Amino acid sequence: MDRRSFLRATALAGLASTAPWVFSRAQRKVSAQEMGYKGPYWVFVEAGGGWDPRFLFDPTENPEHNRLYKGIGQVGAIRHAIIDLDNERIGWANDAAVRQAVLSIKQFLERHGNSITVVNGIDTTTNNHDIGTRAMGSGKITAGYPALAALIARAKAPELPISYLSYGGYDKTNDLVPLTRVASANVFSRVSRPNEMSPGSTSGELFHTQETMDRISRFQRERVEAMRDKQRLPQLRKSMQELLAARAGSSVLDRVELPAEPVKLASRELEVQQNFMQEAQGLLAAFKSGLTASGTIRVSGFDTHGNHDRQQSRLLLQLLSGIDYLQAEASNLGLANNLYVVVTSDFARGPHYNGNTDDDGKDHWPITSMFAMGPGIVGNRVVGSTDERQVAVSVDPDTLQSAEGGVTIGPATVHQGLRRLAGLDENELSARFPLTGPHLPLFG
Amino acid sequence: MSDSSTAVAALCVFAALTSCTTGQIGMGYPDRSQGGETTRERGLLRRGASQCELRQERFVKDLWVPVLAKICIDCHSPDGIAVERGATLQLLPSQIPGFLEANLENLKQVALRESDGQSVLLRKPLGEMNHGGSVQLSADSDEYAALEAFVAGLKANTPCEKHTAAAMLSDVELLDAAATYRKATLQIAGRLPTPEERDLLDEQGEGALTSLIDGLLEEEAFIDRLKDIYNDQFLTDFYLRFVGAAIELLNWNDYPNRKPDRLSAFDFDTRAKINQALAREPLELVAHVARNNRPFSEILTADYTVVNPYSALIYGVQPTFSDPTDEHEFVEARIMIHRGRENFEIPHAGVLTTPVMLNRMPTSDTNRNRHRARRILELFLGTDILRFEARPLDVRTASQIPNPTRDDPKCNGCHRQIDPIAGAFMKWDTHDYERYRPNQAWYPEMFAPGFGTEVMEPWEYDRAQRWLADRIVKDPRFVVSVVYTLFTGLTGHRPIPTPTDGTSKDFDASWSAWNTQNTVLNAIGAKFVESNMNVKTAARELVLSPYFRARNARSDLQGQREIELISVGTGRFSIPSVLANKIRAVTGRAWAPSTSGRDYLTGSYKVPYGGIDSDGIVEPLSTPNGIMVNVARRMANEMACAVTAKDFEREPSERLLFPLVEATDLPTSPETGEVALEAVERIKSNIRHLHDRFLGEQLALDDEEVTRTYNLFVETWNEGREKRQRNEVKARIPPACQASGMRSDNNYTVRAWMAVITYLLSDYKFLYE
Repeated sequence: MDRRSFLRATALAGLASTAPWVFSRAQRKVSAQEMGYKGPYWVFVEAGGGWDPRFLFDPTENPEHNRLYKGIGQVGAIRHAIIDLDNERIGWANDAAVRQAVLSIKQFLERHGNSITVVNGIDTTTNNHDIGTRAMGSGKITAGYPALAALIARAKAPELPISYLSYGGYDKTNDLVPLTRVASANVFSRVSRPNEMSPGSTSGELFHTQETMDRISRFQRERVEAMRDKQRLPQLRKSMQELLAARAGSSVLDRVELPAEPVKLASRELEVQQNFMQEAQGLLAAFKSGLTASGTIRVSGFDTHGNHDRQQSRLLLQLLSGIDYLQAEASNLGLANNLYVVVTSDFARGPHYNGNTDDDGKDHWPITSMFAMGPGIVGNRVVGSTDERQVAVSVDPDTLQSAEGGVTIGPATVHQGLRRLAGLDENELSARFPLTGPHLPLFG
Repeated sequence: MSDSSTAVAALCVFAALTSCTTGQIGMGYPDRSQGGETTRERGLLRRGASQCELRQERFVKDLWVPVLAKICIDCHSPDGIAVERGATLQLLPSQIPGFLEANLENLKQVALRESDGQSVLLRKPLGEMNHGGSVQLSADSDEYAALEAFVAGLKANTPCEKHTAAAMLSDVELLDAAATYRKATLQIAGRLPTPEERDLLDEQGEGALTSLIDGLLEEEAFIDRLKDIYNDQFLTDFYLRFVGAAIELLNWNDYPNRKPDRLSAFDFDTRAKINQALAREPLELVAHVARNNRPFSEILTADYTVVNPYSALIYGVQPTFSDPTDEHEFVEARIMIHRGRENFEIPHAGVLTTPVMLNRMPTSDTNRNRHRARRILELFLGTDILRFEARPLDVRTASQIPNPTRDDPKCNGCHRQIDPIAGAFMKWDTHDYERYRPNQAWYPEMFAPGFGTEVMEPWEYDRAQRWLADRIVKDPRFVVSVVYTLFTGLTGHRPIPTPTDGTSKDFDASWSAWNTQNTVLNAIGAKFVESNMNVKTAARELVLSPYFRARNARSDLQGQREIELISVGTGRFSIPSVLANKIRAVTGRAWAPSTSGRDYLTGSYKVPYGGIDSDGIVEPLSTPNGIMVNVARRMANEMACAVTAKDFEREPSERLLFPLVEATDLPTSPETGEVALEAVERIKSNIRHLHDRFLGEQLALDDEEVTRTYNLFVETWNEGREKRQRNEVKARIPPACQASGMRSDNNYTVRAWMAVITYLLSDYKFLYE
């Protein structure tokens, strides 16, 4: 089977785009020098379960929709819910360890508001978690599209051994790039130096001399290539290509320097935030190594059908504080100027509570918000809005101001804006996975 | 507790849906039956495809895509207004397994009904006979012509010929009986074939294969594998993440032994066993049904659950155990609840009523069991409701309709299917998910409990889930879902979706790929039903199928044939548990930390190696990445280090790896430098042995792969010898790789053999199935 036939065959089997990176990487050994990817880096954060925009940057004073806070805050151009640790109902007012680690929404905006574009009034048109996750992760409500993180990894750095790193969330790749899931620092250290008996120890003793290890790799490559050349069934041939490709870049994994000890918080109440921070550490280390272009992180628990006010606000504050840590660490590592952070949720909580007590929750609602920060994104800016019923208000496609009969912002609109930011709007990947609707300058 | 009537009913329904392959549906297109075959069709026919299949293909291309799926299905889908009003024509969307056969059958019934001498199928679309959708087609349209062709072909009643997938895949080379069995033993039982089994296969070949596989499926290791396959669906191993995760789900008012003071009276080991038994209860029920060759429908219809001595403690039941300390002994039991003055039995319905399943499919006051219904459709009916054509939710209009899930057409399409199933869970607490509430009622504003168009009678509400289960297992999609689940578990690939883009230039080839696979899977489903739904039958037939056995094509694939064979053969990067078993089977030793017995690959390396955690990571990785191949490299290095010297230390007859060679065998004479012919032959013979043991390759001594491995050995040996002379390496074997009686390696042969073992343990054929 020739290359063209193979590509066509795999494409038709839904294996489509495996082939290009498989071929390009497998046919030559990629040197470590070539793998010094310098960005831009993309982090997609998913608040899993459906967050409450009314508790974030689309606030309301309507007591039927908000029993938690009074008044509306504003930092720069961004209006926000006034949620801080002094609020007794959150239950952290007297917890010193929490207070040390958690920001209020206002504090978060004071640090990052100038970098943020908020998009409110996004109509996901669904109340279903899986569909919403897919829509906000890919821009497409129906199945079959890869995550934007995968598109970016494929477009920017298809040859990197861990170009796309996932800590959960919508991470479908459509075989555009291999998906990598994360190990602990200890496991990663052992795996990234497979020929060292005790990675990290001073002995440096090897299982095989480096010359032997190289020989084993060479003989293996020659054997698999010989098998591949004799193999005619597309699926088996593809699997051989994949192995060759994965091995081609795996020798440089030791460039990822994970912290010996993951970051820890003093309070056990902040498990969600601590997990996020540790995952952020891993992702930034991978970016720093030059081997990774994009990643996803999922923070779950936002599906607050019960005890909404307390749980939702606790999660939102931890999420924002985690993002603050991500940005701070990115600065420390010299990555911040090249880092995009996109924060979404599958959909939203509805405007009304589902009962009359403090413990009641809010149910699913399709109209949600998102925010993003990164180079080229205009900060201190809010696009889109909702009305008093939390229904999306359409916008003028040119001015982005509210306009009767204008355009309703949806996941596809958001993703078209993100694709443009990532330089994908002219890429063949955008043609292969087209999104419908007008292009709006959502992010500037 | 078997239900043979269920199986018979399912057989009848399934047979009806697959009858085209057995010659029962006669449907054709007269223009082609008059001798108008295309070149491609003639090619297909040569490979065994029947005229009937060609007509199925044309049904999809000419009728389904441009007419039925485009025009008719909006009203005639199961959730459509026509069906709601009692229309006979019901069209399943292509996302539903078996849609094609079901739609063909249904269309045939409608087409054969006549009114005023003409087929109803030709009158209704013209707006005649009070068609609810009025005029949909004009008589001179292409779409109407397609309908006319369909009806004419049907009247011609060309019989379908029986055909076999083997004929359609005649150019595919399969693993021979011995290689198939080796693959099956490693994959299913986590062991290598025994010498006796190998001898039998050498002697009888294919003749011995079926009975050997049947024997293999009787091993407990298959049951373990089946549990893993079903955990990939149920994800209930989520409750193994800490001791107590499953126990804490139970309400201590219903299960007093779960109260903290009583629980703490058990030691940690006992609590761990209790948790394990509760967490794996649905999987153990699946295992129980399979182990005892019960109809697999019983995983849903069983009016019991299974307990071991430890979960019996927490449930407060006292069945008879052969060994009251054996956590592997699961027996049937019915759980009684004593709540105040009320005493009642849990209305068991197989896995559906187990506490961990009810918790793994959570609900809420407002979700009202819909998530559960969706999962049931997915798990047991092979239907992903979310893949149906999305009907975007419009909050502006929906919020103006008081009861949108029932009355808003954008909502009720899916809800008409989901909500009745959700109703079967009406008597389970919406907060304490596993707590049975016998007096709880269903929501009157929602669709009534039921299944499909059948409404559950109120007197059935006390056993609502069993009522539902009875109907699920009689639905042909249940059989499809079992076959699909096993297919994915054993091959690593999902069945390919039905091609529906009739305009694609590759439609014909895609259709052929799908049709061949569908034929194979339907045949397996039919055998499963014939065997009274014995799941081992389905597993055996899958192992014998070309999708498990294909190793190559006999000749270069030309043109569309590449696409037609796109899904044939496995080529799956082994899942962690299968590779862990294989390492143990081949080397005689587990890859595990010295401090604990748990394999790395099912422990800390499981997720990095592409496995699932039954929590946030529920899709195994099928494409290896840099980390995964490095896990394999590390495994190969550590295992080579661990087993090489130790194997040499044993008597040759007791060695697994080096029975034919000694560490003193050198390729050349140290004195003369000449090739040591006898030693070289022993080295090559042992390499041949290793290729057989590790990779299942039976090679001649002069095979190029033996030569390649030999060269690796010699080059490594030469390197070591030269470095020894230059004092760049020590004679001492690294301590971790030493055996008690073999600590040094003056000749550098042990380390050269270590290189060979690393090479083989990380070879493609070792890592892939």
